[in-house]
Amino acid sequence: MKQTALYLLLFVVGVAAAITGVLPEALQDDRISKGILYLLLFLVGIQIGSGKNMFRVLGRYGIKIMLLPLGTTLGTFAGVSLISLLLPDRSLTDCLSVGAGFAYYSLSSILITEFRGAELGTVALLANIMREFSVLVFAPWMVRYFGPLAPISAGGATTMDTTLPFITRYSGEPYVVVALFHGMVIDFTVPLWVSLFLSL
Amino acid sequence: MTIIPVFSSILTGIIVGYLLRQKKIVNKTGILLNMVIMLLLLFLGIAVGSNREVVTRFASLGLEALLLTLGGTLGSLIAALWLYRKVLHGPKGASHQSEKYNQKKR
Repeated sequence: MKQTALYLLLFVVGVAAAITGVLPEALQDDRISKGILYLLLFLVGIQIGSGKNMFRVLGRYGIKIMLLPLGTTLGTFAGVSLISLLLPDRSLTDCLSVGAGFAYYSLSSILITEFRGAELGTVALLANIMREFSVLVFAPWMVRYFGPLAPISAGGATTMDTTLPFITRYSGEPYVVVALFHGMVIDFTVPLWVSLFLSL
Repeated sequence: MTIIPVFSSILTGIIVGYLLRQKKIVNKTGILLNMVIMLLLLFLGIAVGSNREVVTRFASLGLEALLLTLGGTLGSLIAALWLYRKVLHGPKGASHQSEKYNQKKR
């Protein structure tokens, strides 16, 4: 939660600085943020390449544990596709790229802003923050009506960090490993899906 | 083509991370990643704040975000329910049956 607050604070400081116009022109150069973005993706790659946890879990629990991240992905894309029918100004791929953030609001909104502009980037930021908060607020309700896997699916990429305590509490201890694995898989597919939908 | 530089950045990272997986330095990537994300969120704020269109349409963008969140989250909830009923409960019985079947075969 502290981290989320810090992230949002930095975002708000950026907005305020831009609106009041205290920024030097050089900082608004698109190339700087694009360069840092590629550094970010490189670092995400290092984390994936150096982590052994994912494969160890897969070895112990078998392929069945893969079904939940797959379900989360397909369910989200189906839901977002239906919503895109209600939003005539947005293309299907724009809506899918927002959905493919899976609550990983920082990375997805940064990517979308760089490649599609600040408008869709703002939608992505808000939508993915809302998704994370939906678990923080509605986890018990999700478990009651949709079963113990529900808050894990809803939590998307955050189920290995911010939403994990809520999942542990409402789904139960046995679902911790499922949640950790789900978070890891979704987490590393976010930049792939988002950039795929943006390039379609 | 958005996807080529994005993919190649991640792929280079994966290869470097794999090669350095035994080195202590890779444990530091988490901290560095966090700092880069914070820096980029500041840039994101600047991009949003200097875009007049976004500032004036903030409420309607928020509504779009809410609808997309509802759709995406509900879709994943339904998928989770379906998996819980069909796969997590189904195979318990199924594996039990196959155990019996195996015993008979033996």
